[in-house]
Amino acid sequence: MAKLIIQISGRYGRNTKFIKYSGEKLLVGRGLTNDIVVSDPYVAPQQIQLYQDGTQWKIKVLDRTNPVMINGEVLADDTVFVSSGDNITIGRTHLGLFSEDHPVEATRKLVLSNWLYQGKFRSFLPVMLLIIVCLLQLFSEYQSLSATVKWGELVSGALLVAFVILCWAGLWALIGRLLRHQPHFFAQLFFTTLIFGVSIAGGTLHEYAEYMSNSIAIGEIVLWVFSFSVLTALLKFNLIYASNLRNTTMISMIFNGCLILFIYGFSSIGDGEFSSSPQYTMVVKPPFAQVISNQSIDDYLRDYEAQFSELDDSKIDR
Amino acid sequence: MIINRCFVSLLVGLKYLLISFQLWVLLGALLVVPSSYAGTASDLFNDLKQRVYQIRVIDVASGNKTSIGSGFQVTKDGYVATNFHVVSSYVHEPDKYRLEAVNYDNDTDEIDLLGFDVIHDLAVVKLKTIREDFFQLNLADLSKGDRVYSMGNPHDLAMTIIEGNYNGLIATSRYQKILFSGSLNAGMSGGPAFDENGRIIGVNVSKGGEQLSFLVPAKKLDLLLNSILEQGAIEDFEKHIETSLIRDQNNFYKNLFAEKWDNVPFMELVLPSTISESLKCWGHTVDKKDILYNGVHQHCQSQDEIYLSRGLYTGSLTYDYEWMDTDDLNRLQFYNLIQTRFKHGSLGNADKEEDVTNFQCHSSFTEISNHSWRISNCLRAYKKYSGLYDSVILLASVDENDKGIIIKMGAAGISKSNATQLIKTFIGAIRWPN
Repeated sequence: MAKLIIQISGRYGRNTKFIKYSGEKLLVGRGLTNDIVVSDPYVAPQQIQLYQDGTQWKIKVLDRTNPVMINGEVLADDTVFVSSGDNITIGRTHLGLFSEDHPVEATRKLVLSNWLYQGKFRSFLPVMLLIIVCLLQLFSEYQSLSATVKWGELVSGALLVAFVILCWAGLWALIGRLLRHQPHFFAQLFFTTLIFGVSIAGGTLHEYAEYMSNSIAIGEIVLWVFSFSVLTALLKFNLIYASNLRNTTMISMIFNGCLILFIYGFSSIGDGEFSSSPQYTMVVKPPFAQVISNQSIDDYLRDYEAQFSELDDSKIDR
Repeated sequence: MIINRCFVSLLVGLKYLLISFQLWVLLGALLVVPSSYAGTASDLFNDLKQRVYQIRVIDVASGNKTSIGSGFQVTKDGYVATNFHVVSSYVHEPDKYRLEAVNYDNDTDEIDLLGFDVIHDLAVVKLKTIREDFFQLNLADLSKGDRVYSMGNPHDLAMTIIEGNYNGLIATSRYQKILFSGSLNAGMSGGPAFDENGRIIGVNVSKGGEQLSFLVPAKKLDLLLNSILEQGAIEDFEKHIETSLIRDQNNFYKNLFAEKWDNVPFMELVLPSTISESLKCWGHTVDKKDILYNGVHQHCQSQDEIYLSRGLYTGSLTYDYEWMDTDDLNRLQFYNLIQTRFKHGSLGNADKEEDVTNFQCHSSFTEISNHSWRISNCLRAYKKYSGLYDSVILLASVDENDKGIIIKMGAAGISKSNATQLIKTFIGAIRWPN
């Protein structure tokens, strides 16, 4: 007799449990006389019967108050054969049916498991990294000052960054606690801090790109690509430790791609509209950042004169 | 014989008596009759009030006035002088507005616009109802301190007269203006300014401050009247404005380029100082203890602008030097400082889409006087006046780690050839010997 393994999942895959059954038939329903009792008010007292027919299992629908679905489709016939891997939906409960020889997913590797889960390094590394990133923020702000040094403001800025990192990591730890019953707070803290550090270090990358190429467009492209990469990496690692999702990279890329597009679209709404102020590149960087060679005054004046053709009478809506 | 001698003596005595009597009468008259200044304002007002009008711009659709000013009759044919800015709404939208003149007795008359001088802010309209009471012009020069009177209708309250003194032409003004120490107010624009004999010496144009106002000299009005008499009324208003603006900026820049510019040391550079008498320059330094750099700033700006319409002025010229050096900032910090200051100056002359295009900006790295400079230049065109542009340019030196300069220049209402020549001459004058 083939054993039947039944995976019982509540709403959104919560409270999953497995039952291994080696009998010939079993009743499933909300009533207490059933072999498998399902605590779901949308399931009938006696909802379905699973029974062996030769070497295969069959399902029989006993109550049609609510539809019984198999693999997402409503079961029209009263009795059909089922196979290993089929998903049955009764009410809000999902039943996965498996045979013993059904293949299981390969073991997923925990990222940085060796030192993250060892007791003595569990908190040390993320906290050290947080301190380093706060110092990096302080250093970055110090390099950005131009007129006066206000240490109070610089330190406040660094502490604010630490606060934001802790809140973000805490939020995802809470999500992990709810979804997987494991917060993995220090793992969340480590990766959140690491990615914040990368974003602080690379914060002026787009300005240098704009200055070196003398192109606002290139600066913007670098900004959007960098932002997309940082956000995707952050969300990916947050999802790895907070959920059981498989394609975290793809999910992060799609989500952040949509977010970037939305922000870009929103910020571009006013483009092309009238402005009485000139829109020009305002970036100036130290001498080492100038890679484009200087043009002569004559070339500059030639380009200047050519600019007037952009404002030709024919191009102006008078 | 004795009788004859007595008679002759009597006649001589009578003669001297008569002479002394005349002298006494004259002396008495001098003492008793009021001086020519006492009560003159009142007399002048009563004598001249019928020559002065309130000029109204009426919105055709609603029938109500949208703006007011003053004007005064200057010929027997009913020509009335006022300011261009008083009638500018009508000039730009003659289908939407019409003009009216209201005299002292509150009689309203329709008026036609004959001509205007946008550069000097003058206009001439013509009454439909002819009244023969008009002002004469005094084209002679006055002396500083001479008594001057002005009339007009301030804030639509009533026809008034004010007194002040003539203080000569403003030396640094690009367009000749009289400095009048009287208190003009809104609504008096376009009104007459006259001497003690009631002859026009200028036209009210603007207020400068407390007891400080400006008048357009009568000579400019005379030129406008003559041009109307010779060439007739203007038909294409916008074209006339365009022609005037182009001619005016051509004259200004021609004179500017013809003069030898005074190049003076400015920190480590040698730069043009005041390139025109019509520009005023100011400066200050930044050297406070808690500020980590030293700064020296010079700002030069023209004092005059040409009014075209509400929210649209032109004709200004401005330039700015800002030197910075430091011993305390590293190169990253110093260039953050340069970056925060790397902003185009604002011409502040136009803010409506119907008047000007968006700015088109280009940036580049250019070698000037053996140094590397970051240059941003932006241009925009006037939609109604072909061939005129606003040009702003911004330069920053970018090859020294602890010192640098930012130079800005802006010219409103300039032609392509003049803008190119201005930048060429200005950049060509920059010297940085070190």
